[in-house]
Amino acid sequence: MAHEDAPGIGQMWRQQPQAEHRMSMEEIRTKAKDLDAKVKQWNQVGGLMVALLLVKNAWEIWVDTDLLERGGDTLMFLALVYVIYQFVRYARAETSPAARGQASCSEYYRARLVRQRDLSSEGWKYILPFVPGVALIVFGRAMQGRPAGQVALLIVLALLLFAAVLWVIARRTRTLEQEIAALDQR
Amino acid sequence: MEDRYAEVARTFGAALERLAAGYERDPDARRDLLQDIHVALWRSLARWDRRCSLRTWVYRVAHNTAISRIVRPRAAAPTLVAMEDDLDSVADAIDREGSFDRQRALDRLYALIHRLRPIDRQVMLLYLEEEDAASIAEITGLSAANVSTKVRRIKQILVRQFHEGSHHGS
Repeated sequence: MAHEDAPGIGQMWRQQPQAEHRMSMEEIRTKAKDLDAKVKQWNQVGGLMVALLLVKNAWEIWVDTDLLERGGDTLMFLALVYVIYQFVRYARAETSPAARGQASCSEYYRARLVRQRDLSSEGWKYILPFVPGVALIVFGRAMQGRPAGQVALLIVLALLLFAAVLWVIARRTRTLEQEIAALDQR
Repeated sequence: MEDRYAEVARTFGAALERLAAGYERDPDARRDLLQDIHVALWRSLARWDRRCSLRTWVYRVAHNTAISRIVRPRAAAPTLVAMEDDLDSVADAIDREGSFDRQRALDRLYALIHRLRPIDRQVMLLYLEEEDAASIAEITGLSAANVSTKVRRIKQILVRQFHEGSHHGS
């Protein structure tokens, strides 16, 4: 598609000064190794964080003496395991470099948006599992004769936290859906 | 595979640099993106099954890598239609008293490209690389009619601005 009617713009674009950044095969291999190492490092850091969270929750189950709070801690532990499982499943679905050549740009971009939208729109799946645990812990504290004000504050804070997270999720889902709809119109 | 990659780097090296610049403003981020693109190409070429041309494969991998890395959904990003007025400013930088203020025009062109939605940006970058409508359609997955409309719009805008700029200068 020669820019016969606008040679200035086409020439200007293609003749612009460039850094002439060339990579040798050795640099490519090193960079590929670095990328793999970075992914591995992130996985290790993520794994460590998850392990610490699980240990902390397990510890709370162990040391809590109140039966209700212990039940709440157990439910929180199970919710955490479920959410970790969901995230690992999501992360494993990442595409390979070859898939980037097989899919057209609009297919690829749409697939990424849909993937993000699905993760976002199913955000309640990551929130809801924690509700029974939190509810049981709050109930347990109320039964222990804690001041009503303190229990009420705990309930309000928990509700606000859940509501804020769900609002952020809904907003992000809406933006993604708008972008997908705009893409589908083309 | 290494020979094929070397051929790709030789043939498309300059275009890939311009492509990376179309996604990243910052020189360091641009260099990182370019390196990611080269690594993705090197890794992907073994799986190139010739169902599309090498050219299509290279541009798909490059654009899709760039999209993976930097693009976030932006519902408010302008479309090609909405940017028509903005492109007027590119013309202002072109052909003043017979001279061609390339750097300024390029800066403005890049500024506009960076504001475009991903697919419009890809069409614009491919058009600037002189890809024809059929190639752009194959790379982007848009219909040929859709690409033709977009390309015609880009062309009309650029041609008009260029000619107006030339006439102002003559």
